[in-house]
Amino acid sequence: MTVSRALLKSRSGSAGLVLVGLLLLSALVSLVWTPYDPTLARPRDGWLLPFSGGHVLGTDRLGRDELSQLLAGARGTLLTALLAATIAAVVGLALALAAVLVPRWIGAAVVQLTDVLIAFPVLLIAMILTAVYGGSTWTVVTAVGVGAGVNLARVARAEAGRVLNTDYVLAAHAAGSGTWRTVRKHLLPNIAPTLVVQLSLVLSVAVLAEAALSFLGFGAPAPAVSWGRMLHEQQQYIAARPLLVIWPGLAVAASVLGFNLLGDGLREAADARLRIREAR
Amino acid sequence: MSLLTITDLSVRIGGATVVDEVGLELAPGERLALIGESGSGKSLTALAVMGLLPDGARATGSIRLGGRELLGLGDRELSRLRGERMAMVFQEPMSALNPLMRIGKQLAEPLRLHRGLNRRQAATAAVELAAQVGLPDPDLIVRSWPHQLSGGQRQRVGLAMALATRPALLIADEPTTALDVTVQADMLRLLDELVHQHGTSLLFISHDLAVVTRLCSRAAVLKDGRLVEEGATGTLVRTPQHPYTQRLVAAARATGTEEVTR
Ligand SMILES: Nc1ncnc2c1ncn2[C@@H]1O[C@H](COP(=O)(O)OP(=O)(O)OP(=O)(O)O)[C@@H](O)[C@H]1O
Ligand SMILES: [Mg+2]
Repeated sequence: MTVSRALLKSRSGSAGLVLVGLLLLSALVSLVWTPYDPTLARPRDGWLLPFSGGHVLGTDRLGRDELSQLLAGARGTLLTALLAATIAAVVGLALALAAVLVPRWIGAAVVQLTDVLIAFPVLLIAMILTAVYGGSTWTVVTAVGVGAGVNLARVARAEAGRVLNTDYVLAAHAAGSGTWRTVRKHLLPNIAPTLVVQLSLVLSVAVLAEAALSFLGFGAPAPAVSWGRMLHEQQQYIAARPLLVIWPGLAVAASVLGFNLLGDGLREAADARLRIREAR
Repeated sequence: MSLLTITDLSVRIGGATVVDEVGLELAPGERLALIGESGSGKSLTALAVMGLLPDGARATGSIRLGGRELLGLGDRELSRLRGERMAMVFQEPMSALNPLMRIGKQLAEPLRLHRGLNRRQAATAAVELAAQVGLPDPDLIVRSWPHQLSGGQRQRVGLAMALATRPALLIADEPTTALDVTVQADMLRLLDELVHQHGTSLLFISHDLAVVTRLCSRAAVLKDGRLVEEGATGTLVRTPQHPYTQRLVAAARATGTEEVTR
C-alpha cells in the first residue's frame, strides 16, 4: 500500500506505470482480440494507408495489419521480458546466496565465475546460443536471463553482504535462528526492495535485447510476431512508408522507457521507506 | 559448580591475537562485569561464548556452559543453545531489530524457535513479554514497526527477546551506552529486576564503573585482550591493584566529580 502510494507520488513512477500498463493492456487484449490475424498475409491489400480498408494503422507490403502486429508483438515482448526476469532473479539470487553463505573459498570461486560471466555481453551470448540451438523465444530468454542474472548477482551479493553484517542478523543468530531461517525471515525481505528495482531494469534490458536480436535475425522465427522483426522487415521501405517503422520503434522505446521509469520510481519509493525505517 | 567456565580463551583474527588467554568463571545467578577500554576485546569474548565470532576469527581454549564444552560444537547444536540456555542483548538498539518485521514477531521469535509455539500462541506471548518489560500499550506495540519506537523502547524489546526463554546466562554488551542518561537508569533498574527475578547469571560488559558497582558483585578488567585484574567490585574500585585499573578508577572519579560540580 505504502509502496504503491509512494510510486504514484513520484513523477517517473507514475509515468512508468502508465507506459508499462499500456504494454500489459496491449498484450492482454491481443490474447483475446486483434483487428485482424497479425500473421495473415494478403498481398492484394499491401501498402494500405492508415484508416483505409478498415486498417487503422494501415498494412505492410504483405498486407498484414500493422495494429494487429503491434498488439501481438506486445505479447511476445512482455512474455520474453517476464521469463528473462524470472531466470535472472533465480540465477542472480542463487549466485548471490552461494557467494555469501557457503564457506569462503567456494564463495570466492562463485564470485569469480560471476565476474567472468559479467564480461560476456548479453547479445553475444544470445548469438552464440542461436548459432547452436537456432532462434527461439527460449534462446533469447535464456541468454538475457542468464546475462542479466549474473549482473543482478553482483548487486544482490553486495546487498546480502550488507544485511548479513547488520546487528539484527547477529541478534537473530544469538536468539538461535539457523542459517535458512535467517535467510528467509531477515535476509530476503531486506534485500527485496533492491532486487525489485533491479528486476524492473532487467525487464527494460530484456525488451531492448529481444527487439535487437529479432532485428538482427536471432529472435523467434515466424509465425511469432516481434517488434524487432517488424523493424527489420520494414526498414528497407522506410523512405516510402516511415510510419510502419516508427510505430514498432516507438513501441520498443516506450516499453524500455516504461520499465526504466518504473525502476526509478520504485527506487525512490524504497529509499523513502528506508529513510523512515532506518532513521538514525 | 559454576555455570560458565572460560579457560585460556584466545581469539585470533588474521595474525592478531585480540583476546589472549582469558579465564573467567560465573556461578548460577551471579553477576560478573567485564570492563576495559574500547578495543580491549570485551565484545569478542562475549561473541566467542555465543559462538558468533566474525568470519575469519578463531577461538582456542575452552568455554564450558553447565559443564558442556562450547568450542568445537557444530552450528546446529549451538543454535539450539543460543536463545535457549544463553542469550545476548546488544549495544545498538537502533540496529538490533529487523526494520521490516513487526515488534511482536521479533519478540516471540525465540519462543517460536525453542518452544515450538504456533503463530497464535506466539502473538499472545509477545504481548505478555512486552508487558513484562514495561512497554506501554503492549497490545498496540506488538503491531508496530521498530522505527516507531524510541531507543529505550527498542532496548526493552531486545531485553524481552533475550529473556523470553528464561536463559541461564544473559550477556549484555553495553546495553545502555547508546541511551539517554535518564533512560539508562530505567533500563538498568529493569535489567536488575528481571535478572534477579529469573535467577539469571549475568555477564555485563561496560566501561562505566559507576554502573558496574551498582549492578555487579564481581568485575574483571580486560586490557589489550588480556585479563589484568579480577575481584569483588567494591574492593576493585576502592583498592585497584593493577596500574591500568587504577587509571580507569581515577578517570571514572574525575568524570564523576566533574558531573557533580557542574
Ligand atoms: N571483525 C573484526 N575483524 C577484525 N578485527 C576485529 C573485528 N572485530 C573486532 N576486531 C578487533 O578486535 C579488538 C577487540 O574488539 P572488541 O570489539 O572485542 O572490543 P571492545 O572491548 O568490545 O570495544 P568497545 O568498547 O569499543 O566495544 C579490537 O582491536 C578490534 O579492532
Ligand atoms: Mg564492544
